[in-house]
Amino acid sequence: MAASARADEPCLLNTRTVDGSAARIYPLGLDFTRTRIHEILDGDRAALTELVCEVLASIKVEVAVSLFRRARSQGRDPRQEVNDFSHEILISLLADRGRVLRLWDPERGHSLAGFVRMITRQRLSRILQGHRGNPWGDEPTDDAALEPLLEPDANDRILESREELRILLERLRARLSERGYLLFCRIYVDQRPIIEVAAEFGMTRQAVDAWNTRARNLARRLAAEINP
Amino acid sequence: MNDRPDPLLQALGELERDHARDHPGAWDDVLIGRRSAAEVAASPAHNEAEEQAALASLFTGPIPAAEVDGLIERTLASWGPALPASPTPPVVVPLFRRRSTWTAVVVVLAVAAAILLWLPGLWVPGQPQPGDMLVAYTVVERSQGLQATRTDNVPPTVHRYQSSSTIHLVISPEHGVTEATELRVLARDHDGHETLFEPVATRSAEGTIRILGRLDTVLPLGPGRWRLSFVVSRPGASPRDAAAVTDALAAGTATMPPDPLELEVVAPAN
Repeated sequence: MAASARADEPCLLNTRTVDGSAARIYPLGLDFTRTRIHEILDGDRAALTELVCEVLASIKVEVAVSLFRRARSQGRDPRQEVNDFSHEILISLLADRGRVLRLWDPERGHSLAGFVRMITRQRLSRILQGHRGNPWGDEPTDDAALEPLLEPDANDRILESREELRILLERLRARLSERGYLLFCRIYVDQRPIIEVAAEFGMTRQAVDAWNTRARNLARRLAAEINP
Repeated sequence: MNDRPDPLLQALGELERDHARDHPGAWDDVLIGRRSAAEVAASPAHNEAEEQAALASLFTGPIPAAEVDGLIERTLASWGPALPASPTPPVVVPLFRRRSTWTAVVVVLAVAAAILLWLPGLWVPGQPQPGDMLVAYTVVERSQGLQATRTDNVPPTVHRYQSSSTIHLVISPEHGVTEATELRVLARDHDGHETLFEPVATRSAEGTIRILGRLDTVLPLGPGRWRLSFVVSRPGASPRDAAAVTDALAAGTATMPPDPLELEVVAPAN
């Protein structure tokens, strides 16, 4: 891939030693565009280092925070696992020439760091819930099972304990496919209209409604397991 | 078609928003090297003081270059053909130079193959070779099992589990291992009978093996006291049964952490 020198290309400052470890320090204020990320993943080895450092930093902090908050209720120290899980998640984000990382679209309102944290939470939930297999399938796994489409019951009890909700959220993240989790985030976290989300994901309105119903049933089933 | 937003999913979405809002993103800057740990630790934060202190003890400076480089090399290896160092125009090589280049490559490969074939003992399939020895592993039990009661006679170092308990074991290499490995568990009961089985486990990119989940799912152990040893081997080289473990260890095709793990599986209370 031929390219002339770019004015916005990142440059590495001189390596310096910090606490006995060599580190590379990057200039402040560097922003990655979607196009630039695709270029880096397509064949820019020098810039790949900077991208990986940025992504790994977001992953590590998200993993540490998630594990600390989870471990607090269990009286455990998760420090040993931060690096372990972070590396595993980074490798999965970069697999297949960065297939998952290429999904980031700043038009959907998330910075690169925010998108990476979102995917990290889902990946970490899958690891902690012991789910195996390919979490990056295009189609939902468990929630694609043919379940009766239940109408919401007016007496449905919503988990009121924040800790119960946290446990449920982790289990839901683990059970949703990558695509399903991104759908959940767009509809319920970012609170975008369904018709807008359908267009973003290239789905019909009916397909998103059907997914929504399955997700609701899955959440209720998981909630019943937490507090029958 | 259901237009009503689901209240449970809405509550989960709100929780996810709170989590994202409270995320201490300043620590990203410490790991990238844009800010110092002292500066971030001293600045106001959304998260709780205890969490902030924990992050300050964990993230003291930028990510080491060696760590980043190692992860990139693994990534590139999984991608296939090497990426160029930077984007450069393709170089057209005249046809006669290409032929001579390929001829030289073929000759080098032929010489290397001849060396491998004619030097005795250099490479024997299935046998460990210098530089190919399995590294040492340690086992850490992260789960604590059931709480012991005052009347228990079980030593405090032996954790007790029910079949539905969550068990979390981490089998770590002494240094990063990128090659694939297999894990078997050698389980010895109180009568001295030994069984070798393959547990349900995951493996990280650095070679750490994790057994995490319901006991009856990941480690099929019946009620009673158990002594567990963990046998790590190259793919396809795991011992076939308990009797073959000693020979595999002697031959160097398997390795085992020196200290077995003791646990007790109890029947659920009525």
